Amino acid sequence: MNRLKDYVEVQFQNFPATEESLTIKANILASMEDKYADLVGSGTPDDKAFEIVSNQFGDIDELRDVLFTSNTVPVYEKLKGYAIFFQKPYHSRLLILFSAFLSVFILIAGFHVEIWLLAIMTIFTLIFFVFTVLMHPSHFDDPPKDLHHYISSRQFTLALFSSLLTALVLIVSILNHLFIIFPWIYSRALQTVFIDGIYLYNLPYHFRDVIVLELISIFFIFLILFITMLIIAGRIHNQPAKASDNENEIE
Amino acid sequence: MISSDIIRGYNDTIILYMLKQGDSYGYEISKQIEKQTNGDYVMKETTLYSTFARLQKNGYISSYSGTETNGRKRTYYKMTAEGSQYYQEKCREWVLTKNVINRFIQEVDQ
Repeated sequence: MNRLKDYVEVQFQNFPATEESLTIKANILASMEDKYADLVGSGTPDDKAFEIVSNQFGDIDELRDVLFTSNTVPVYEKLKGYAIFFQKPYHSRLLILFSAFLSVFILIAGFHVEIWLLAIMTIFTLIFFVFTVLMHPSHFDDPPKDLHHYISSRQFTLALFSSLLTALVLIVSILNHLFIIFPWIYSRALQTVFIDGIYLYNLPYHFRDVIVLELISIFFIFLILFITMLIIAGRIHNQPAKASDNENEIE
Repeated sequence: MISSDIIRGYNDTIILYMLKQGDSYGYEISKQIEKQTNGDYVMKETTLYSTFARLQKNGYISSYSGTETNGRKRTYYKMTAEGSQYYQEKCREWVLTKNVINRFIQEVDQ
């Protein structure tokens, strides 16, 4: 009987272990063991019985569709309305255009104040933007069926990479604060001249610019991140809807 | 051999019919289906249990844990009132479907 247990284990490999799925797994194994025992009891050779029983297992994705599409989606339920908006190619194109415009704006603004850290931030923002565009639904060659599929997909790797880049941008931004704002406060306190290592700044003017530009950059980074999430949510959400449409057609 | 695409919409009906006869568990139902169709339709395990899960989510069946004679714990399923109503609907739908499709089926040699 260990052979059947192993068979079921292999089938359920990579299958999310929830209370419900574990119960079903145990029930399936019990069914298969009963059938196997019946077959062997009626004179079927062991190997033949195992073959018949394992052929009757079916397709694990069938269970996945029922158990996880409706269960995992509610996490994204709140975003549904927005997500559908971004499903439309026209809206998506507009969004890309808008983001491109913003990126160029940040780029120009960043160089204008001649702070090398802001320039680095801008470059990362641009790279992040490129990845966001890459993740647009029309670039999904194999749309994920549910969260599990999504996590094991190439799109998830891209999303992860983009998120890491965002994190990096934020770290650079924090460093920026440490190098520019804190020394500025320090220099004011000590009544000395503020030096950033490279440039000697005209303090009040520069300080205001840095703050405004950084706030703008951070805002846009979060905006892009939010939109990326919406696109992903929309993609995941679209799948079960399609699946149930098909089902209705069949019925 | 029956195509799984064709029968998919009626797995619910088959299982509800079985539960109409009384509470039962996975293997018993699967065995009965095979027996009553003379082996023409053998339901796959994943089909059986995904149908149970779907029916339960829609409130057409409920489940409870029970023990069979050999002492093994099993999940038993029970049809609800909504399930009974749904079964009637599916039966009416099938009669209609059958009448429609039959108009386009030529007699085949047995």
